[in-house]
Amino acid sequence: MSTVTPTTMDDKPKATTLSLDTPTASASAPSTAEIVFETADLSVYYSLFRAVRDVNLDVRQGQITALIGPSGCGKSTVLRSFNRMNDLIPGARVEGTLRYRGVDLYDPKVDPVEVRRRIGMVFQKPNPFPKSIFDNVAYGPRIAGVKKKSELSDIVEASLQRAALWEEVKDRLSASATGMSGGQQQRLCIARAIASNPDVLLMDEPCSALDPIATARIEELMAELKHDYTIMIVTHNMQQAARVSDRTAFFTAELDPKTDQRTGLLVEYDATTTIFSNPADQRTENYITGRFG
Amino acid sequence: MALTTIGGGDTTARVEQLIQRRGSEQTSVSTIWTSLAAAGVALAFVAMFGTWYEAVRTANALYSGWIPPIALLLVIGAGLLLVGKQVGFVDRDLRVNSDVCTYGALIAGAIVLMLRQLFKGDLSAGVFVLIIPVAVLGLVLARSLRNPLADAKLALEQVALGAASIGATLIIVKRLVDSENSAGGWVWGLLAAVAVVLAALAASQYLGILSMFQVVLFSALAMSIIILLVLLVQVVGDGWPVLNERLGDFWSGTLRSQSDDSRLGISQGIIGSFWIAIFVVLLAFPIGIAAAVYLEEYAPRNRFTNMLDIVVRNLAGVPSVVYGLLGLFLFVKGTVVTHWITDRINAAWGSLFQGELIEKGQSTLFAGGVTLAILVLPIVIITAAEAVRAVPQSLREGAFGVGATKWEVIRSQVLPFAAPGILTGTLLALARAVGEAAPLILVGAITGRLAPRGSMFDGAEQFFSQFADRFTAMPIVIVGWVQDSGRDAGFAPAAGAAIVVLLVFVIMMNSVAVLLRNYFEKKRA
Amino acid sequence: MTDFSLSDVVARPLLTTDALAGPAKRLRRESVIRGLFFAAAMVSVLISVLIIFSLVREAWTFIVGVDWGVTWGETGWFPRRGLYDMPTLLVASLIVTVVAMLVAGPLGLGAAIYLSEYASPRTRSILKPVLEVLAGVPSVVLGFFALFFISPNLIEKIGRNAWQIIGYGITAISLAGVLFWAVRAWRDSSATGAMIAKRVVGLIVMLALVLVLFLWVNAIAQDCSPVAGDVAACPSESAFTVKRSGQLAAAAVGVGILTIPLVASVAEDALASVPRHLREASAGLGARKTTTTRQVVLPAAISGIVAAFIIGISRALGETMVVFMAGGAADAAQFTASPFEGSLTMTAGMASLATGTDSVVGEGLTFQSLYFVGLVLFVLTLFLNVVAGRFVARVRERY
Repeated sequence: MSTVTPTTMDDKPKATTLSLDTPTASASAPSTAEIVFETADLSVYYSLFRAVRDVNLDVRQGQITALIGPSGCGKSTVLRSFNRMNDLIPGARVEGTLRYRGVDLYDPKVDPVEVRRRIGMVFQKPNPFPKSIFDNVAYGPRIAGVKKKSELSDIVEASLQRAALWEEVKDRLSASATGMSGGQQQRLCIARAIASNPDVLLMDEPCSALDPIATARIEELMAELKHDYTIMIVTHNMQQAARVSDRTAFFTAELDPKTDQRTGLLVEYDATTTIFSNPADQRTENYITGRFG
Repeated sequence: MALTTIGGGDTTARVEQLIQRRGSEQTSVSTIWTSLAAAGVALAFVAMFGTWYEAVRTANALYSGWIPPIALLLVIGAGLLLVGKQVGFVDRDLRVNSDVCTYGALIAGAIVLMLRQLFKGDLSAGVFVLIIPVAVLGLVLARSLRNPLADAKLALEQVALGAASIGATLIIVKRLVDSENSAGGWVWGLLAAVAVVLAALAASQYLGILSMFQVVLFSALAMSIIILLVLLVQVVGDGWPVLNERLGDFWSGTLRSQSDDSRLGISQGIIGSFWIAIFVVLLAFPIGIAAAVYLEEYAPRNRFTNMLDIVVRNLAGVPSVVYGLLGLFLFVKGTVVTHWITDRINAAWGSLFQGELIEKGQSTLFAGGVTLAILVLPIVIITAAEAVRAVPQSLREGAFGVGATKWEVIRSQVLPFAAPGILTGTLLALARAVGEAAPLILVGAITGRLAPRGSMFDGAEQFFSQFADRFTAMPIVIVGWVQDSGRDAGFAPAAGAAIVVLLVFVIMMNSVAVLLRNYFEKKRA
Repeated sequence: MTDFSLSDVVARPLLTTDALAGPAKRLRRESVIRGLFFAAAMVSVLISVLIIFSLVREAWTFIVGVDWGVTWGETGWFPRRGLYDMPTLLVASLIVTVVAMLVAGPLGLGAAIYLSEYASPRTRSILKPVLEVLAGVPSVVLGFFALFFISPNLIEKIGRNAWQIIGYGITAISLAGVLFWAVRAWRDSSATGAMIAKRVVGLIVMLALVLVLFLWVNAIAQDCSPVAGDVAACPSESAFTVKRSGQLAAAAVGVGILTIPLVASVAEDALASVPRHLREASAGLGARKTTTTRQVVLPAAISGIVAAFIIGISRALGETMVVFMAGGAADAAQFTASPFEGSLTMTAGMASLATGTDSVVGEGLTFQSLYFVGLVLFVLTLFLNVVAGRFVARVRERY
C-alpha cells in the first residue's frame, strides 16, 4: 500500500523545506471531493468558558484531516463536537454552525445516537469493553439490530480483518478483550468503530498511549482505511500529521481580552504539504519549526 | 562485645545487623507493652464478668477441664518463644505481626487463667497467675543477658521491675484466694488491672519507646473487639443449650405461653421474616436501584437533583421508629386513599373467595413488609449510586461512541460493571431489614401468642390471606420472649436461641457482602 | 464490506435532517425508560412527604387537644391514663444519649485513629471487617445483652459500689502519677547528689500520702472494704438506689456499643480524606508519628470527626429496641434523672405505646401522642443530620 517514511523525532524541519514522503493519496486528493463536514464560525462553550472559537473548516470525503496544535487549544473539543460527544458533558454547548453532509448537526430534531452511528470515534486511551473480543466488535451491529449469529460473525471477521487484527485473534474471539496489549486493544477499538459501518471515523490522539511499533501499525491502517471512510484525527505528534494526513488544521490558544480566558482558535487550514512547507501564518511556522509548543 | 571474635567479619556489617535487630525489637517490644496495657484495661471488665460466671454458673464447663492446660501451654510456649528470641536462641527473624500474635497468646492465656482462678478460688489454680510476672521478668532479664550491663543503675531497674510485678501479683493472688465472698474479687480484679497498667507504664519509661497515645488508641480498638466477643459468647452460651437439645422442635414450633412447652419454637418468626425479606427484595431493590441509576445517569446537575440527593440522605438518617409511625398511619389506621384501595381489593376478593381479605384497622404482614421496604430504600439507593458512580467514564464513552442510546449504555455497560457493588449494598440492606424490630412493633407485630396458621401451601386462598393476617418476625419473637422472661425465666434461654438463629443469618449476610466487595475490588485492581 | 442500511449514506452526498432524527419508536422508548427511572427517584420524595404529613397531621390533633399544663408537669409519662409528661421522655433520652456517647465516642474515635494511622495494612484488613460485623448486629441482640449481662454485672455493681470505685480509682491514679514521676526522676542522669537526696525524700513523702489516702478510703468503705471486711455487706452501703433488671445506664451502654461502628467509620473516612502529603510534610520535618497524628492529622480532620460525633448522637437518640428491652420501664415511667433508675426514652415510649394485646388503646389522645413524640424526634434527628452534613461538606471542600 502507501509507503510511509518515519521521520525521527529530532529531525526538525528547516525553515521552509521539509523532505517528506507524502502519502500518495494526498497528491490525488482533489478539492472536488465531496464535503462531509462544514463549519462556520463554530465555537464550543463549557458553561461560561469558551473553549474554542471561530472554527471554519471543511472536511472532504476520502481524506485524512489532521488537527494539530499545542495542548489546551481545543482540538479534542472540536473533534468531539463532530459527533455530538460533547453532549455528555453537562454545560457544553455550541455556537455557529456545523453541517454534516448539508444537515445542521445541532438541529434540535437531530438525535445524537443516529449521528454517532454514522460518525464513529476512537479514543486516546483504548477502552475495550470488559467483554469478549467478539462481543466488543459485535456491539455496534447488535444495537443496530443485527441479530443473526452468522451475520454478526461475518461482520466481526470483516471488521477485524480491516483493522489488521484478525490473524492475531481469530482463534480466541471469546477471550476477554482486556487481556490484549495496548496496541491490539486500540486496533480492536478501531474494529469496533468500523463494525457499525460508519461514514466518518474520528480519532482523538489514537496513538498517544501506544509504543512506536504499535503506532506505526495504526498509521498504516489509517492509510488503508481512508479509502472507505473519511478520517479526522487529532494528534500531538506533528510528524504523524505530516505522515498520514491530506489536510491539516493548526490550532493555537490565545488570551481573549474580553473574557480573560485562554480560548482556542483555528489559525490555518490547508493541504498538509502547504502547512508543513509553506505555512501562511507566522504562528503556524513557529509551531512547525519547534519554536514553541 | 568483642567484634573481632566474629570470624574476621566486617565491622560495618555487624553494626548494621545490630541496628536492624534493635530496630525490629523496638517495634516488637513496644507492641508487647501496647498489648499489655490494653489487656490491663480489658482485664478489669473481664474480672467483673468472671464474678458473674462464678455467681450464676458454678459448674460452667467453659472453665474446667481442658481449658487451663491449653491456656497454660499458650502462656509457657509464648513466654519461652519470646525469651528465646531475646536471648538469641530463636534464630528465625519473626516478623512484627508474629510478635503481636505471640504476645497476644501470652496475654490471652494469662487472662483465661486469671478468670479461672477467680472462678475456682483455690490456691493451686492461683499459682498459674504468677506466670505473668515470671514472663515479664524473664523478658527483662533475657534482654540484659544479651546486652551485658556496665551500668549498675540499669541493672537495678530491671531487678526492681521484675520484683515489683511479682510482688504485686502475689498480693493480689493471695487476696483473691483468701476472700470468702469472691463477689468482692472483682474489685481486686480492678486493682490487678491497674497493677498491670502501672507495670506497663513503668516499663515504657524504662524502655523509652512507647507512645502512650498509641496505647490508648489500641486499647479503644481492643475494647470494641473484646466487647463484641463477650457479646457473642454470652448470647451463644445462653441460647446454645436450647438449640442443642431440641433443634428440630425449636425450628418448627410456634409462640406459646409457657416456656417449658415442648411446642415452643420460631417457625412463625422465620416465616414472617422470610416474607419481609421477599417484600424488601421485590419492592426496595428495583425501585432503589432505578432511583440510583436516575440520580447518577440521567439527572442533570441542577438544584432539583441536589435536593433529591439531600432528601435521600436525610431519609437514611431517620430513626426506624418513625418509619413504623408511617406504616401505622398508612396501612393500619389507613387514609382515605388506602381505604378506597382496600375496598376495591376486598370486593375482588369477595367475588373469588369468601368474606373480606383485609380487615380495616388490623395490622398485617403486608403492612410490615412494605414498611420495612420503605425503611431500607434509602440505603439501597445510596449504595447503588456509589457503585454506579464508580463505573469509569471511558466505558460509557466507548459505548456512546459506537452509537448506543442512553439506556443501552446503562444496560450493557454500566449495570454489569456496577453489579458487584450493587449486590453488596443489597445484601447489607437485606440484613438490616431482617434485624429491625422497632417499625414492626409500631405496625403491630405480635409479641405474645399468635395462633398458628395452617400450611401456606393449601391453596391460593390460604396463600394470599396470610398477607392480610397478623404476623410476627424473628426480632419480634426475641423481644416478646425477653419480656416474658420476667414472669417465666425459661424464656430467656429461648430468646438466646432465637438470637443465635437471627445472628447466624445476619452475620452471614454481612460477611458475604464484605467478602464479595473485597473480592471484586481485588479483581478489578 | 457487509451491506446494511447505513451504506447508502456513503453513496448519497446529501442528507436530510429527518434522516438524522432517529426512529420515533426508539426515541419514545428512551423517554419512557427515563420517565420510569425518574418516577423511581421521586418515590423517595413521596415517602418524605408522607412521613411529614402523617407526623404533622396526627401531632396537630394532639397539640390542639392536650392540656399543656399537664404535659410539662414532671409527673411521669402515663399515656394510657392521659398524662403526657414530655420532660420524662426528654430527660431519659438525654441521659441515654450522653452515656451512650461516653462509650461510643472514645472507643469509636480511638479505634478509627488507630486503624487509620497506626495499624499495618494486614491488621487493618482483619480488624476493619470485625468492626463492620459489629455494625451488623441487630439492636434486639444488644437489648438482650444489655438486660441480661450489662445490667446485673456492670450497672448494678457500679451503682452499689460507686464510692469505692471512685476512692480506689483516685488512689490508683495517684500511685501511677507518683510512679511516673519516680521513674522519670530516676532516669535523670544529670541529677547531683543533693538533688537525688531531695527527690528520694519527695518520693517517700508522696508514697506515704498515697498510703494514707488508701487507708482513708478503706476506712470510709468500712464493712464494704475489700481489704478489711466482707463484701457481702455492701448492698446496704450503696451509693445509689439501683433498679433491678434494667436501668437507663445499662440500655445506654448497649446503645453506645451499637453506635461504636458508626462513629468509627465516619471518623475513619474523615481521617482518610486528609491528604498524604500533609503527613509526609510533618514526617519530613522530623516529627514522631504521635506528634504528626495529634498536631497535623487530627486538626485537619476535625470537621469530619465532629460530624462523626453528631451522627453518633443522632443514632443514639433514635435507637429504640435496646432501651425498650433493657431500660427498665414497661408501659409508663415516673420522671427520673438518675441513670440507675428505669425510664422511657422518646423512642421506647413510642414502642411501649404500640405493644400489648391491642394496638394503641387508651383514653383520648393516646394515639396522637405517639405522633407528637414522633414529630419531636423526627425534627431533632433531622436537625442533627443536617448539621452533620454541613460538617462533612466542609471536609470535602477543604480537600
